[in-house]
Amino acid sequence: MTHDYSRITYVTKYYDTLQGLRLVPLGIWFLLGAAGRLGWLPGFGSGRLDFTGLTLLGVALLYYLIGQYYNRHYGIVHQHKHRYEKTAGILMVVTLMAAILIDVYWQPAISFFSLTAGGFYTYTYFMAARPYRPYYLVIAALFFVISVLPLLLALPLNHALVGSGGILFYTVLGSSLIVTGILDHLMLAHTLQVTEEEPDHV
Amino acid sequence: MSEVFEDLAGLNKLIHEPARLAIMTALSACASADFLYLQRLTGLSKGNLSSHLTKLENAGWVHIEKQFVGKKPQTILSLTQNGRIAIEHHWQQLQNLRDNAQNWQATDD
Repeated sequence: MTHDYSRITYVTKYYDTLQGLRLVPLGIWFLLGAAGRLGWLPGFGSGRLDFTGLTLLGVALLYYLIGQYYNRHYGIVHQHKHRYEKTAGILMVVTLMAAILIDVYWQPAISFFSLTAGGFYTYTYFMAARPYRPYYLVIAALFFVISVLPLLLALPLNHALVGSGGILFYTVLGSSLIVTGILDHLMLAHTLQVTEEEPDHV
Repeated sequence: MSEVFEDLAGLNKLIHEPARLAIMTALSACASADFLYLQRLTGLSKGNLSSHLTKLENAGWVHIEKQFVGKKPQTILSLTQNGRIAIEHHWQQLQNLRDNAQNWQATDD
């Protein structure tokens, strides 16, 4: 048993977000998209809605199934519901979609999507990830660097990031989801010990 | 310095036991958790954890709810209002102890 009581509080409070393996399939999906755009995998990165929809459905199913694994293996924690969490989630999705549209149709000198992604990782670090997940700041910094790449390379946005199918961006996004997912899971697994005795929820 | 030892002796032993302190601390950070989560967190055996939970329930600090999910029994634990007050008070006592001990070191120098 860990006697680090602040760690106990942290892991319990953020138990849902520490189930990092749930995001790994989505990270792999982005990496497969990058590979598809390079011509290595037919279908992936093709932009076909039916293929994209089907594969994302598969990702969502895996998200659910891995969640069931966490419930059965590590248990269930219910948090107090805060109204602002749903609002914040919706706001995040809307902001990201707006940023994508700006990048695709406006072609600014810097990538608003990367900037937004970096902002969200930074926000997540200061609101929920510190002090146990410093890698969120590293990922944020990576996205900030990527956002100014078009400016630094003096290339149009669609050549540096979005174009060529957005290979670089898909690769970084997919990799960051996988890395943070695995690290979050390791933190959870390191804190919650699996004993040999099988519990029977008595 | 004797005041620090008096404060130390005044800590609630029911909460201060490491496993129960871990249980109360975890439950204070959520609305509720199931038996399995607390067992993973503490590394205790089923019987040992049950024993600690019973003591906390008898003190009126923990609410134990047994339900079925499908055909599988599930035990959900949560802090009562008194339990939340008790654990908050306990951590405040520990913080005060720490502050007093540090001040004692400073004045002794």
